Amino acid sequence: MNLNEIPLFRMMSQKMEWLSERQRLLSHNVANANTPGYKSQDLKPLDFASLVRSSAGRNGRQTTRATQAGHFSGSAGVSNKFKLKADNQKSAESMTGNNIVLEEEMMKVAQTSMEYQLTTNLYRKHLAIIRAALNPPR
Amino acid sequence: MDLTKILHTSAAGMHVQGERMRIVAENLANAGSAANTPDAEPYRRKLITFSNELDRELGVQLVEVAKVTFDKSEFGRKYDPGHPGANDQGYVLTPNVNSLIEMTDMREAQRGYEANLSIISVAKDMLKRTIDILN
Repeated sequence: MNLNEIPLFRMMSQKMEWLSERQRLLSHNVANANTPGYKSQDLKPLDFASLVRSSAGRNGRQTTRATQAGHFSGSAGVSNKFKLKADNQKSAESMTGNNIVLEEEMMKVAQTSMEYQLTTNLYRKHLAIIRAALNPPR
Repeated sequence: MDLTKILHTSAAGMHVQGERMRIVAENLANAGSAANTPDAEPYRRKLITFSNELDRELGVQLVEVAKVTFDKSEFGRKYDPGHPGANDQGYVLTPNVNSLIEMTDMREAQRGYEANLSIISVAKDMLKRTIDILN
């Protein structure tokens, strides 16, 4: 049985993938809080409508693939599965051209972590439902 | 996997903040290192800058120390005729270290270090939750 055949599980694993990708970008932001010229990066919110659509039908999207050992992902190592959000807060930019606000990044990290917790808990609950169906109580 | 890459990214962030702390400590320790001979220079303040470098093995960009340069600002002058480094007028050149600036730099490095550290614990927590789906 492939759990990803069940739309709900596919949606949740996609959400988890998005959340961990976002967390990676945020960690990159925090690590570069003092790098001159570094600009804050974030992902576009996961579109619920497209999530439903992609889980309803067969997902036929094309993405670039590493087919040779020498291939590596783009400049920031962002998988092209999710879209980057242009973040141009001019107000927070310091003299070195860096616009990271640590507090804001930490807030986003906390939010992402909470959403991740929610998704994993949902995942476990649904697994429990399937398990309950497999061995009904006597 | 993304979550394990976070650990590498944040560890690199912690490493550069640690290096920055080392430079700050060096500057502060040498805040009083004036010239010992009239024609010698006193301690010159060091500066540190960061940049991104692609780690091909991991496929992520890690922050690292770009270069350590010297602060080109002017040295201070102190009237101390008895000092071995005093010139004809009795002035000694003192380092261009301002302890207040170093202190704020230190706080900033500490803040950055702590932020990276808490990202690591959040990422670890997320990894743990993923593994917890198993039971």
